[in-house]
Amino acid sequence: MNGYRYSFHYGKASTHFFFEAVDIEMTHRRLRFPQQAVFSLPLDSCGGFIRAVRSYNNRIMETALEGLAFVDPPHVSAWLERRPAVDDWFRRRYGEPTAIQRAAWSVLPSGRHLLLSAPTGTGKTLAAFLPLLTQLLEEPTQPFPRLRCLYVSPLKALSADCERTLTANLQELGAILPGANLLRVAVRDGDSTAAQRRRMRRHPPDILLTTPESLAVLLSQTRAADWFADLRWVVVDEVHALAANKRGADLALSLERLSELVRGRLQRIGLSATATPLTEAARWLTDEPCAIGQSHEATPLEMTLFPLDEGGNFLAHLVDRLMPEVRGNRATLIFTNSRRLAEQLGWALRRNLPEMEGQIAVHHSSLSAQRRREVEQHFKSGQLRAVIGSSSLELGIDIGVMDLAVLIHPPGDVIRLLQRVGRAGHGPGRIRRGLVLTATEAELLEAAVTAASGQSGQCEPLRIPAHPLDVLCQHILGMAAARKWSADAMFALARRAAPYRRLSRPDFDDCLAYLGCDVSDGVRPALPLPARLRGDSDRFTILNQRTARLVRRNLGTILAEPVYSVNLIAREPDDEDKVIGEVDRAFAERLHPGDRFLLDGRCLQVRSLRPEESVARVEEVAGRPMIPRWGGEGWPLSTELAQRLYLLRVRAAESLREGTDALCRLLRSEYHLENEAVVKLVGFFQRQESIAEIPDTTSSLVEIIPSEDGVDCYVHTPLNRLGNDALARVAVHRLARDHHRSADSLVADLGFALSIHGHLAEPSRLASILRQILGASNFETDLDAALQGSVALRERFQRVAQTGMMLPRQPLGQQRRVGGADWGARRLFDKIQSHDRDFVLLRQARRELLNEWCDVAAATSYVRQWEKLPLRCRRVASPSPFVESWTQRGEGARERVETPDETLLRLHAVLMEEASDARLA
Amino acid sequence: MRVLHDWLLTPERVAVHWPSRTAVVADLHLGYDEARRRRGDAIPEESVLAPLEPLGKVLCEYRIGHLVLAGDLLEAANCREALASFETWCREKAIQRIALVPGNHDAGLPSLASDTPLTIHARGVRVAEWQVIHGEGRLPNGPLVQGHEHPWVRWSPKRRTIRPRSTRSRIASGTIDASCYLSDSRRLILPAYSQEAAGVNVLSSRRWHSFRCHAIAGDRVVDLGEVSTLNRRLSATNAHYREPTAD
Repeated sequence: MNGYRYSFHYGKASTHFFFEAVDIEMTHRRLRFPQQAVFSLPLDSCGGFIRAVRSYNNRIMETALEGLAFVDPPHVSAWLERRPAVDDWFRRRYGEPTAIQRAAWSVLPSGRHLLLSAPTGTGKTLAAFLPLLTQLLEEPTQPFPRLRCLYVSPLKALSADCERTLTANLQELGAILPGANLLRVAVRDGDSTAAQRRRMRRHPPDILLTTPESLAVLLSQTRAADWFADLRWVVVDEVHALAANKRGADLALSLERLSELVRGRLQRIGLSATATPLTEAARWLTDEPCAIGQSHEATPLEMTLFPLDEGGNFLAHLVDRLMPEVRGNRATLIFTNSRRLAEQLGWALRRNLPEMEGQIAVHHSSLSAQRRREVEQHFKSGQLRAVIGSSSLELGIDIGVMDLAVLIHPPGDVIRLLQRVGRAGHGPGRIRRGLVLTATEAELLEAAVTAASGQSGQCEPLRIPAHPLDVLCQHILGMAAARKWSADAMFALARRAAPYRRLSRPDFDDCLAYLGCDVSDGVRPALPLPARLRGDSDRFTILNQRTARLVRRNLGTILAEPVYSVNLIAREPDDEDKVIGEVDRAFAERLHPGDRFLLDGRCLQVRSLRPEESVARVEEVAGRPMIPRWGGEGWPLSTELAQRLYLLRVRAAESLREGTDALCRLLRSEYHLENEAVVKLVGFFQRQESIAEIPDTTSSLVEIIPSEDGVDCYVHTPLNRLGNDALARVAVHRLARDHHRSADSLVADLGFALSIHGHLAEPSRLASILRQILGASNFETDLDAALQGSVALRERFQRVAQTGMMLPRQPLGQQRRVGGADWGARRLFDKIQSHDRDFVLLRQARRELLNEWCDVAAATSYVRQWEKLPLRCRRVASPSPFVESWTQRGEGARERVETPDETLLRLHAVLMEEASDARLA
Repeated sequence: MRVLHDWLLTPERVAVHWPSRTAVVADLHLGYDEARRRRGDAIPEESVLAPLEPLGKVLCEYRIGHLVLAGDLLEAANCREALASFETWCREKAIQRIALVPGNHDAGLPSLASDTPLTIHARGVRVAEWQVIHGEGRLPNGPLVQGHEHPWVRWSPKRRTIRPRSTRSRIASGTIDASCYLSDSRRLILPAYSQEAAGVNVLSSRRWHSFRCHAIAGDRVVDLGEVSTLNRRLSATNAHYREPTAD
């Protein structure tokens, strides 16, 4: 263990230690891995702790041996100094090169792969591009246009930003470099017209800016091999945002396909904001040796937490607090956790600040792209003083310099906090000022833990989804559409992509079999499905050109929720309506002509609805609007923050036993809270102790409240909503199966509630029932059984079937909806399940549920503890303050002992009885 | 169950006009999977005949002489395989006459084989005083039997929210999720025969308020009374329900 240094945060409780290793350093190589891991261990197994740290180190050691190396930025850039003209231009235009730029320029000319991690505004784009541009400009002119550099970003807006930067720089560089080439830069994304695409196919640009989806389409063309042959660089922007999801898995496979196509060597360059561990992000980028450049120029972070008054109108308190900030700052960026609140707040601020007419705007993903570009540009040019946005403004879109970032409600994870606050003080050396406004004491506590983690740089580790098979199916088809393949070659290629490094051959073969390729071993009788491929595993290709066309129009992993487009009616009859944004279909279908609703901070009145085109035509009016709701909002607390929050509560309880002063000291010294916040939190903890108790690590606390028809149990856990979802699902399932009880559940961060129907014959048995329904034996089997046939699995299967090309989103020919939008979940699921329970896309849906939708790993380790710890059942009159303030709560599993048919017959019988009683009376 | 004097509503989603021994069935959407596959879905092939088994059972059980297909026999007019299988099925059944009233999905139906009892009646078929039509577009006057609407009753009790702050609404058990017939004195609306078709919840629109709802529960059809008050009555009734206390 020599050569490593550990520092720990720890929490002590009488039987358990919580360790959090925050900083592991490999001294002999001067490599620094800002890293964390949380361990919670019984005292008697400290040996286990040591082992855990050792295995953790081994992993780090391995990555170091795999050829990853951190780059120390040189003091002066030798590369730049060798080019006096460029050097001169650069200094005139941008000043002194930043550390990240010097680091990049020391690596890029050597041809090594490079991952650059730095906050936005540190000149990352130029760090990556300058050597490439210079080289391209200096080379002799090519006789035919060839694509040589590719830039991929998750957002069209980023491509547009990048295009502006590159074009401007190319012009200026072209002017100073004698005999420079003329380079063409082009953007290709979903908005490109057919004519543009055709032109691009014939005359490729030198530099192409695109999205992962458009890249996949380009790669599946039959001429892809020729088109990409001379490609030398690929730059991937926002690696941290891509690597964590299916879009990243899609792109990772595309990168491997690119490397296969190019004649020479393809140098990969990744740009990322904060991501931990960076080694993981680098491994995502490539499996070859890779250099990592990291910016240490952390600008000072000044974070203020402000608890808003509880009670009364939350929005009014919010507006009162925000008005002076908006007035007092030149540019304020306000982040909400939902589009709904962004709209509400935008509306309220505009009404309360009439003098700022036209200077406050809303920005979220349900506004049209055009409107969002307008807002970004106006904000950058200083025409807007405040923008209220949801997560759409987190990525590195260039919106100029901000004075202050305000977060309404804690953001749920540390990375999001840093990204949001990072938008303020954009630019080297400027202080990043953040203000977090909280609605409740629990939120204040959460914000304190998040802010403290942010200050010490303890971010959530990057989690790369493990080999999504639906995305793999898309790529198998895409590759087969371009040429003939053998299964071995394709499997080897897929395994080089980071998310697929652990892809098993049976999984891969099952994908091939599902798509209609003759897989020789014939272990599983394939479902009788129409084939997409022809040939056997030695040599196969796409079935026909029609299938290739179907595949190309359905590439991509983004599944849009059904929406209505909101079109503003043109003033002049000849003009076209202008698209403002969109609302969920569920919301739109309840609208009638004459109804008013809020979008883009404007009150819109519905003139007409066109359900067949999913369009609502509206006009702007004055008046009180309804506020739309959008689905799919709110995200759980990160696993790490849930643990830390629980741990803070345990420590607070221990301090409180020593006296309130000790608790105040803890909150002030470690969380840097101001007096008002401290007083609130101390009161919060005291109330919890007096009504119930603060849950600790020596027992499991359940609050029990008898209900009208049964009993409600509130279980405190150190897990986030995903972990609690798994627990609640199993509990509800076992209640129905073993105790013949119907139950509802509610899941939240740090706890869940079970509402058990029907009184128990022996109430004293409740504790033993609770013990059994959360027991560790067969936990995973029961979770699997609980998910089997659940609505969640059905819906997930439909989504996987869409991505996996079983139910392409954009089929050929006309659309008919007799089966309804949920046919895949309602009917196809049952048909597939009855044929083959282990069908490859069903398997994928189940894996996703277990790993992303429920946190089965966290839940499993928790139930093991649950069995060992004593259970404390507290009968209380009403839920404790901790329960009252559970965050991110939502409906959990429910199970009915009665089937729908039984319910119908029972209700019918009673209705008949009542009707005959009424007749007799 | 029997409604409107002469109509027997079967749980197989087939209505039988008792005096004339005529069965009426709507929205079979045969060849649904074939149509989806043609558009590019990779879904398993299914037999056309299996979904017709319940209909065959009704024909046999009530010794039906005439069968009226009230529209949307096929999912799409080009589902030739489905049509051919259906024609074979028709030949095998000992039915004197099978009348097809084409629905919106049957537009462009190819000519039918001449050796089947199947005939096309574009303007509808008379069964005693009732006119059987598909039901899209403007409806004629007079007592009607129709399909096209796919009525369904979907109801779940107001769930007792276990959110800490609002505990006012009652605890509830069970949900209803069933296809149904709708009737008033001059109209009988049939459920879609096809299991593939999505239903339209009759409780979510005022359009069906004046109708009576006859829901299918397993092997029974039960009368739930008028749609306008159904939601209220179900909620009131269910509120008194308690699950048995035995462990």
